[in-house]
Amino acid sequence: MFSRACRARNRKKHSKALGRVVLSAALLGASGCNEPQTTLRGHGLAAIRISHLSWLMTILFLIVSLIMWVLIATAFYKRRGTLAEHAPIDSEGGEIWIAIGGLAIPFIVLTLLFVLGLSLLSDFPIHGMRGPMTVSAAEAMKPEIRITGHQWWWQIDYLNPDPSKAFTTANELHLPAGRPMYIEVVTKDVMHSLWIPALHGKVDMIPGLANYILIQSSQPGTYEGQCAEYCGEQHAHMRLLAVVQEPAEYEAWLQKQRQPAAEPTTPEAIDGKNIFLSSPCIACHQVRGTFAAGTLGPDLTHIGSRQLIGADSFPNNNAYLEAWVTNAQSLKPGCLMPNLPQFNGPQLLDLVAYLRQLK
Amino acid sequence: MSKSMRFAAFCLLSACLVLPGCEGGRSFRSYGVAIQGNPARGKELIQTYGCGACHIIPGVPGARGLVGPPLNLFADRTMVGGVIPNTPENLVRWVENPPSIDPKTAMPDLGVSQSQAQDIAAYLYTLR
Repeated sequence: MFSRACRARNRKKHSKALGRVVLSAALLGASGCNEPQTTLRGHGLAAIRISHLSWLMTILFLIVSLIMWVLIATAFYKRRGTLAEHAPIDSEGGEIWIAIGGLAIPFIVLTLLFVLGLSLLSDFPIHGMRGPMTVSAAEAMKPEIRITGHQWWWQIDYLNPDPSKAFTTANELHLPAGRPMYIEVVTKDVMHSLWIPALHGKVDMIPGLANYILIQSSQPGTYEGQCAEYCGEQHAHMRLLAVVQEPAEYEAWLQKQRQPAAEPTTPEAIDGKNIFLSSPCIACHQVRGTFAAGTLGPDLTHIGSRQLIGADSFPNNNAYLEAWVTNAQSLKPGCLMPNLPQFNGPQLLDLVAYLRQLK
Repeated sequence: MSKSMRFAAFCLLSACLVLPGCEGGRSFRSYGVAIQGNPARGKELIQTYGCGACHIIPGVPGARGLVGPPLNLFADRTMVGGVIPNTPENLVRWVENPPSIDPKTAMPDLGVSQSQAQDIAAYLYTLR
């Protein structure tokens, strides 16, 4: 089995197999660089640092693995005798290998990574606040945004000491490029975790505790986020869209969102508004400027301006919006929005017309 | 022609006469619309417009909606929308603007153009 011819054949097979492994690893790595939720290339300050540390770790570990593979291959090809002969183990001169390869190098590599990780954590801390003494510290940081996790959507409050400038929206986070934003992160029910991989590291939402994180994005773009702590049936569909804009665009968006709901102008939309206000919708949803003031579900004042619905899970077009209104359970089973089968065809079309014009 | 060749020609000719009668005469529908519409593009348009939000549509990823009826075996259906006969022209008109045909329908006017509706209809007629 270990004749020279056989070994030569095996060598060819092994190098082919090795080549395939390397190629597929390279392709996998390359495809990861441009995905919307990649951590390999950051667009926020924290994410850039994290991506550098990730790359360093990956390369270091690849080098170590390569050395190990070379050693194993050397041991395999330099074997003396056949399996049946039980060649004696060479027990001389091995200690230096263990001292260097088993103690010194791992100690150096791991210490390096530990120190780099700690420095990253201290540069991008997550402050957890609990108790009255730390409330003043939290207020000193002046968070501009509060993100509240619900099952299974994100409530986003833009805070402002002036009540006319504060507003609530859902599932779509807008940030100005280049400006650090303090964000308070809380939850109304179970544990969730805010994670927009292109911008920052995960920050948990813990019941009874407020966490504070600083996010600074370096360039405009649209990034996707995901809840990173299993929180129930639709955890996988608890997604977030983070839109980083130039400061001027961001201010314009803020101004628009501060306005109360748009008044409908077409007959269908007017009928839709009347249907909306006389339906169970108002028990859960708020539309500022009307008497719909429910807080169980997302704020719908500007739902027409959002790119996606259902916590960033479905396109915000007429088809999906209508399906959501009447049969949300078929799109997101288990979500807290019940099916509403009491609307007939024309009523549904009117409702959708009203919601779509709430830009 | 030799005897065997003549026999082969006879078999081929009679097959051509008999085979179109198979499938209960349904085959004319897929030919009629396929000439005008592109089923592959229709499948993409179904995903773009979000028809799957309300309908279960075989072959379309994510089309699992429970608001409207499932569209399996659409080539064999006799009615469109429960109100008009299932012919290529009717289906195209329905997809373009359902409320214009049935004012009571919940299916919205999604702004589908006529050529897009033909592509979508061509795809639906592949469902058999």
